[in-house]
Amino acid sequence: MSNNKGINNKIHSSRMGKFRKVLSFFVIFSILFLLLQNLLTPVWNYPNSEDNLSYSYEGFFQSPSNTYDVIFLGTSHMLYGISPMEIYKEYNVCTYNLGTSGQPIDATYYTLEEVFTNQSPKVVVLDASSLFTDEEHELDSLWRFVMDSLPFGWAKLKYANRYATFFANQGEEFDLNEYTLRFASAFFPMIEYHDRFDELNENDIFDVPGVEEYYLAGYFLQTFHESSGVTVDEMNAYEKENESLANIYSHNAKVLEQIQKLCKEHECELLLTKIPAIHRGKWYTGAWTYARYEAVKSLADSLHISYYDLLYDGDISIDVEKDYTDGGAHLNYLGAKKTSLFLGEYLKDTYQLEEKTYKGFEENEEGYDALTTVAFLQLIFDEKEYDEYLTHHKQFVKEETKNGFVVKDKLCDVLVDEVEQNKDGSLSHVNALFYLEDYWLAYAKEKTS
Amino acid sequence: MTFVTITFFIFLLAAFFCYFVTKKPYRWMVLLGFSVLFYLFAGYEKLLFVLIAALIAYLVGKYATKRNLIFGIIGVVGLLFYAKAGEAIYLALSLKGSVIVPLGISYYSFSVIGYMLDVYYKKTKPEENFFHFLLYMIYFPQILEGPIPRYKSLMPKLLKGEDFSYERVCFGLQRMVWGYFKKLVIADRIAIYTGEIFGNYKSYSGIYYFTAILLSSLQLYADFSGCMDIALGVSECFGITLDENFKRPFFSKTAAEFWRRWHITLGTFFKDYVYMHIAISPKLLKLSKTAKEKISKEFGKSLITVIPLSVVWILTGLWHGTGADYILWGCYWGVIIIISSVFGKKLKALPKVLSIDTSSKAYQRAQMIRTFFIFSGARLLTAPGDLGVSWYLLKRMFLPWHLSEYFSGGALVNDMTLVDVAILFISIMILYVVSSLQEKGIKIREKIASYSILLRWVFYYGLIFATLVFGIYGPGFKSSDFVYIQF
Repeated sequence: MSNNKGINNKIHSSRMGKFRKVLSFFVIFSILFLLLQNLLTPVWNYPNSEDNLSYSYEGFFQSPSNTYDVIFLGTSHMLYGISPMEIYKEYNVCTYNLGTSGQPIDATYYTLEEVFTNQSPKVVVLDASSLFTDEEHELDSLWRFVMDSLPFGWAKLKYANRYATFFANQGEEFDLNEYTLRFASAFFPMIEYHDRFDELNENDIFDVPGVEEYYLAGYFLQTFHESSGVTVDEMNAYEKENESLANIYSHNAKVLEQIQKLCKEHECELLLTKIPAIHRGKWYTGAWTYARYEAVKSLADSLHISYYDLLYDGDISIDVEKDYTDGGAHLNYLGAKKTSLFLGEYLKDTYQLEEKTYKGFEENEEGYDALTTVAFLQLIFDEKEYDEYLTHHKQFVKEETKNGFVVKDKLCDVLVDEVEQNKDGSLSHVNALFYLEDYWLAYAKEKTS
Repeated sequence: MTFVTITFFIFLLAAFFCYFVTKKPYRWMVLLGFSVLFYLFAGYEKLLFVLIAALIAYLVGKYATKRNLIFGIIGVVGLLFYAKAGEAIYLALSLKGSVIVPLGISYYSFSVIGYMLDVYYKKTKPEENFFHFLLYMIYFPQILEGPIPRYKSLMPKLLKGEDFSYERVCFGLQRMVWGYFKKLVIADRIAIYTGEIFGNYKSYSGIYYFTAILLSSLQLYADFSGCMDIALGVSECFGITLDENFKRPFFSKTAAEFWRRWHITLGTFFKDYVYMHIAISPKLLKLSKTAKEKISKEFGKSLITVIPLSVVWILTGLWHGTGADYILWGCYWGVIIIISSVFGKKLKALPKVLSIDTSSKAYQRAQMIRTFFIFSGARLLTAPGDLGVSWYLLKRMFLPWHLSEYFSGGALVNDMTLVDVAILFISIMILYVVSSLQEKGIKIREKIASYSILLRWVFYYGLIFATLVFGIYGPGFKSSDFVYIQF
């Protein structure tokens, strides 16, 4: 009897030993897996680039509850076009820009669902380009960009389901394997990003100094410059035959309705708008023609959604020569400042938004002003005007070069601009955005040291 | 559903759980249920085909007369022929509709033909329970790419219901991970290169073709044997041992030895059910005798080998595909095997004449390399997917070689990087080292199990994470299906 008990005890302790071994194996595996996943998943944390998404979204979702009265959503047109800090400085209205490159309207919906868990905005502003994003050609990265940056919650779960379903339906039949793989990858991004091992850089391993000092509230401060080359009338004349440009995808219209319903549920107004895009549609399908304006207006009227077009309903006095970064599709800082101030005033008056002070933005203001001081410098093309600007901003020092000159910030000891003088006397800025990034990092380092 | 899908992992977890919580006498039902479910993922209409084949074979087994046997084999082969050649026939006759190709038809057809023959020749008793028989036929780990089972050895294992064994499950999982490593890290990485070269062959020539053919040989091995490792590993977790299908074929010194180490169960099927039956058939013996008398003793004797081998290799080619490429492929191997068989003695004497030490390692390595090139020559016939393309590649394979272009970055086709090349090289070296150790009789899993827990876990984690990080998979990536699934 005691022999049997001894044997049973041995079996029991052997089983417990194996159980502990298996458990330990899986615990260590899980830790290693999560560490590796963390390393391989892109941090989307690059100073002032379209890829500075996770910090932008992280900054938003870590904000105190009920901070923001207006949320801006939509594609890169919104991302480049609205600076919340400009609106705050001028009108003391708290807003945030959650626009992303090529944001699928489904991403907009689920982001908004997540927004409402922590914020109670009075107005949600959506750039109408979202209605024209072609569902068939939406890139995986545009979906993931947002999905990877959303905090874990019901909205992310539903978004992952939508994302997986969309891509699983790309073939003739529903691909169950594609669905499960994509759904799983939403929560285990290692599945998507495991092959990034040969792209890893310091940003993936260390916090890049200065990234934590984020002053832009989601806005992408852009200082490259390329003139539009056309006026609004020329653009409309050019696109006259291109009727398909004004087709709103039915799926996108449906999601717009869902966004409207969501806003109503949270006692929030939905405003459709359009950041001005003035260019020939040949190389980029975002040309904002009057036909598109009319199509959106018709849809908005049928759904009783407010629509205020910043090209055809308002007059921001966009300068097609100076205000664009890429030939008319997206605004640079000069264009964004005008748009932000114009729309900010419209929002404040139309929706009776209260002025309030937000500590986070107050703290950001100095950094934002430092950045925009450099940004403005990089968008001056007249030499006289440039020299006058340098006179008023003593921190900058000009040094002559073979083809023009460079400008250095004395305080941060970093180059902020490289200028070439053209034959007609105008100035060209070389690699403006990269100098702006360098300045940002140097400024933040200087501030924290 | 293939082995490299998340759906399969979920399926396997469920199967595993259900199997071991079920009482032993009923565990076979769990296996059958999950095997049917696995099959249904391919489509219910394909399951109907399987049921028809199962019914034919089951009834032939129950009423095993010569006539029933012949009709049974014709029925099963007929279904196989329909699946393989149906598309071409539909096209030729301009028929509407699509051909239903049941999952694993080439594999289960042979397993049931083998069963019918074994019952007829009284090598095994017929199965009384149709559902037992169905399980034998569509047991899910082996349905995709084999191994081709033998009823007598597999059925008892399927019905026994082994106890859960921690060690066995560990070994099974290790084998699965090794299979995934071979498939995802090696085979699918090579596929990036070979897919580009064969897909856009007119943009390349010379060394590009040459390396693509050699790499495709490695790709096929890593892909097929990787699948086998997964299948056998899965089955091992359930306590059911399947037959080995590979035995380090690239260590073979002759073509004949190669086919005793590559796709072993197919080879033994043809040996046991085709070769032997023809070789000992009275008609062939009579023909051989006549030939000995009328032509020469040697010639007559060789007929005993040549005729059965010819039939085997034509059938082997047809089993792989009914197109001209596989028929030629079958003939290619047939000729090589026949020559080495008929002239074996003379060929063995040649090194002695040239004063080559056949026992030296260098000579044996040279034999292995020769066999690898013979195999690669066969790959040239089938890898491009079209004989016309194969001929195009052959004509341009040796001149010009574009060596300087190739080694100054030209080899990095299809967005491949030097990192990909490095990973491929290292992983092939790992495969070589493991295979070499196995060739020396070392049982790798047992060997690692004898190490300290720290070292063991370093190996296990290393292999798992190497597969997870360096594997070619992910959303939107249509990893090349296991190559032998198409058969």
